[in-house]
Amino acid sequence: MSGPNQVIRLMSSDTAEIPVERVVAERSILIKNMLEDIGDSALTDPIPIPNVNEAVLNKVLEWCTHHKGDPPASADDDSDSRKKTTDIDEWDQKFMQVDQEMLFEIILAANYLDIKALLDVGCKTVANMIKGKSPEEIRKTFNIQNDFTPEEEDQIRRENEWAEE
Amino acid sequence: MKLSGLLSTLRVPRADQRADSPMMVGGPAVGASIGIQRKRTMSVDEMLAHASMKRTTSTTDSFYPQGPVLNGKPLHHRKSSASLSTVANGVRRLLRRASTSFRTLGPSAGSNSDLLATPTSSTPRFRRASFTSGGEGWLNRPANAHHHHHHHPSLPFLSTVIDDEGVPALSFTAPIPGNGSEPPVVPDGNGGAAARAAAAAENERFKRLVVVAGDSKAERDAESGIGIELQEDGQYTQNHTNDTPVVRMDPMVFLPLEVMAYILSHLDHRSLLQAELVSHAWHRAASSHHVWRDIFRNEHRGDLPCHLSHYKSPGNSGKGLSKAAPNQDWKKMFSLLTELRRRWARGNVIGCYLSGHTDSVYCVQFDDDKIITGSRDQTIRVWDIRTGDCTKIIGPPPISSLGDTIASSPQSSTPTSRAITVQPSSKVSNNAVPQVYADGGIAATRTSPPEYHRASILCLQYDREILVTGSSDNTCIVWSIAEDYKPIRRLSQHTAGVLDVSFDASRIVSCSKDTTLCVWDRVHGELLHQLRGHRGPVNAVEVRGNLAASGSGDSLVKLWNLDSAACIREFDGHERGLACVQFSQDAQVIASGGNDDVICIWNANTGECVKKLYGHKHLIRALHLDSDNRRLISASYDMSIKVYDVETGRLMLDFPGWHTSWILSAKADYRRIVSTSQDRRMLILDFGAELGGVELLEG
Repeated sequence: MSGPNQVIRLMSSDTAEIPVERVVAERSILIKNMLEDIGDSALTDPIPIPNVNEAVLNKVLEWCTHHKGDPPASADDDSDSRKKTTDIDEWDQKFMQVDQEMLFEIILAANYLDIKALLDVGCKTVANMIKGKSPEEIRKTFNIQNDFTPEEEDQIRRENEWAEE
Repeated sequence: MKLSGLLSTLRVPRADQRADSPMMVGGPAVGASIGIQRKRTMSVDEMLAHASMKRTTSTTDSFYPQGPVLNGKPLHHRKSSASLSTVANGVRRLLRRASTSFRTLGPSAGSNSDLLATPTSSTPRFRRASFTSGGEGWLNRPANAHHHHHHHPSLPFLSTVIDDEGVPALSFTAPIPGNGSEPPVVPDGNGGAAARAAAAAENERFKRLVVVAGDSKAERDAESGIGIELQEDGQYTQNHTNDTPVVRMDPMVFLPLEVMAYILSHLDHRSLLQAELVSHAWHRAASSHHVWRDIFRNEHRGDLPCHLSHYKSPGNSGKGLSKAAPNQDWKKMFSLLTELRRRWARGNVIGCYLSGHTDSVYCVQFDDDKIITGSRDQTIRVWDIRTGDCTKIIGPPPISSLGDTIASSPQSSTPTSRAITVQPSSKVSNNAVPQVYADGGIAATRTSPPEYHRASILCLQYDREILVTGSSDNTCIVWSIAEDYKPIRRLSQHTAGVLDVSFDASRIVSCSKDTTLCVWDRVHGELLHQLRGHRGPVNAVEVRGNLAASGSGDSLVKLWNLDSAACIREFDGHERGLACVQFSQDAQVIASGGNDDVICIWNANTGECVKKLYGHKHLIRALHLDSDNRRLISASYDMSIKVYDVETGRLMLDFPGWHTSWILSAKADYRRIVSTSQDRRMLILDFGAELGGVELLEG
């Protein structure tokens, strides 16, 4: 069967085969282009996704399933017109309630698979973890060592004094 | 009757003014000619130019993943080197992973060997996969290799972080019943940490079971693997801290720089500045031009429609949004705009004067390079805004061949020398700092083209291609800026002085003392419509799209549809004649001012007067509505320039006494207010003076 409901199989980096509706998989521009390139052999052979492991791929496909009916992003959706709000819809917020490593893996996968909307949601989620925090709070959030000397810190603070009221 | 009364008030100067300039009596320009800003009107050509420029920019300047990703080659160039360079992190992560995958790695996996558990039945598919694979990008990254269930976020040995945020604060002292077929979790009595960890793990597991959808067999298998781990939790008997383990990892290490920059570009500038202080790596990413470009555009572009906010016309609508050029220091530009806004708020300004015109200066427009003025002395002058030099004088031949007013002009035969003089006005307010400039003596080129105005220049507007001037000689002249201000054509139809002019990419609209407006084709110069309806001289007009707003001595603002040539709305509320009219950038708001000393802010759609701004003590001669910065600049016969907050109507700045006579025009951009006066001088109030690097903002 061909068409949007056709089921194809993806193979994760850890060689798990995951069946998925074509319309869902095609939320990924990378997969969409691959399907166009390889044609009917997609029916027989699984499509290798060598950079995403099974768990992450499942998570990404969960997102794609939920969003399969979304209208396509406008072609003009470049950095200029992009609304840089960090609003995230409720379902996506829940979807993104994962540990940091999974969150970053999802972002990497969305980047690799070219799923712009998922990349945006992931990046906004991380941005929200940074927003409004002090440097120390950010370090704590992500377990980061402060590798600045006090002098370096002072220097940066001085350079950024212009922003103070 | 009311109307004629209005007309006479508008047209005849006060007796005290008349004394200075007797020639102005009855002249059409005296009360009725007003220069208005109108350059916000978008030119299609410029929109297109901008759009293509934008495209170029985004291809050369963009770091977003679309392109590379389409080629199946993700943007991870930095990643491989990063994971190599940050050895410590890599090792830490490896250990983490190794310990979570201990079933396959064995006791030597790390310092947590004492945590080892014996795999029980139905061992899930743990794999080491690409720990050792040596390819580029992803394959080189250990982080990518593991199965996500392997690094169970709640496992206690991950607890390098002393924080239990995000994990239920449960304290178990009793065995936890198993979930389904799983055995209960028995606390080991070691401070309860293991139990807490187990509870957290259980919680996490449950979350995943709920959250992870899909129905593949592989996934069910993976889920079942979690239960195995839970069985073993009770064996984690040592090395536990009291902290609840939460996976915390530096995204700067984990994610490619491009993605990290994209994340940071969602921040506000204050958060971004805080992020710079996190670590060296964060500082590098957070201070990058890419990120600041986005922050700059987000925060300094307002809520304007995209196509409008892209536009930057020469002159008065300059936004200080700068040129699109590669490698701009967006952070520096952001800081400059921040400082400029601060100076606007405080009124910190340096003023200087340009003189050279030999009579009242009626109209002005400027951009980051030049100022163009028109005067009662019948000349148009072009000035270098940086040096103050007058670079060009366009007008009648300086010889007294005409035998009239030219001959009587005191310096008609000599090119005017530039003079920037001091303004030590005693009435200066707002901490304004008068600045002394040396007088210059650079002779401007005086040209007398085949066509020129034989009377006062009352109004002008220019864009990148053309300059249009209107005169008491009842005509407009269109000049080619590219061809050194060569006259292209004369527009003749009005039967009295042309008091204002406004044009966009397709149409030129002029208005006249003859009470009509003329709509001309910009390219061919033909008269498209003549709009009748005002019952007094039409002193001001501004075009916005297919709309034109006009203000007249009959005290009305009228809104015209230029396609149908119909008057579609009247704004009735002023008590006396109007001198100036301005559209907001989105054409939703109209501001008008005139002889009743009040500025009215109108809802352009409903015709309702939404606000009245008071403060001026005499006729309001010029308004400039700066929608980007929500400022309204007004100039009055009371010799003051005032700046209002458009949103609140609050008077923000007042510059009384800088001119010594009526102010006849004023324009503003992101850093300057330029005004002209009956006192023959132009005044530049520069908020960006001596601000290092301010030229970065020039468009």
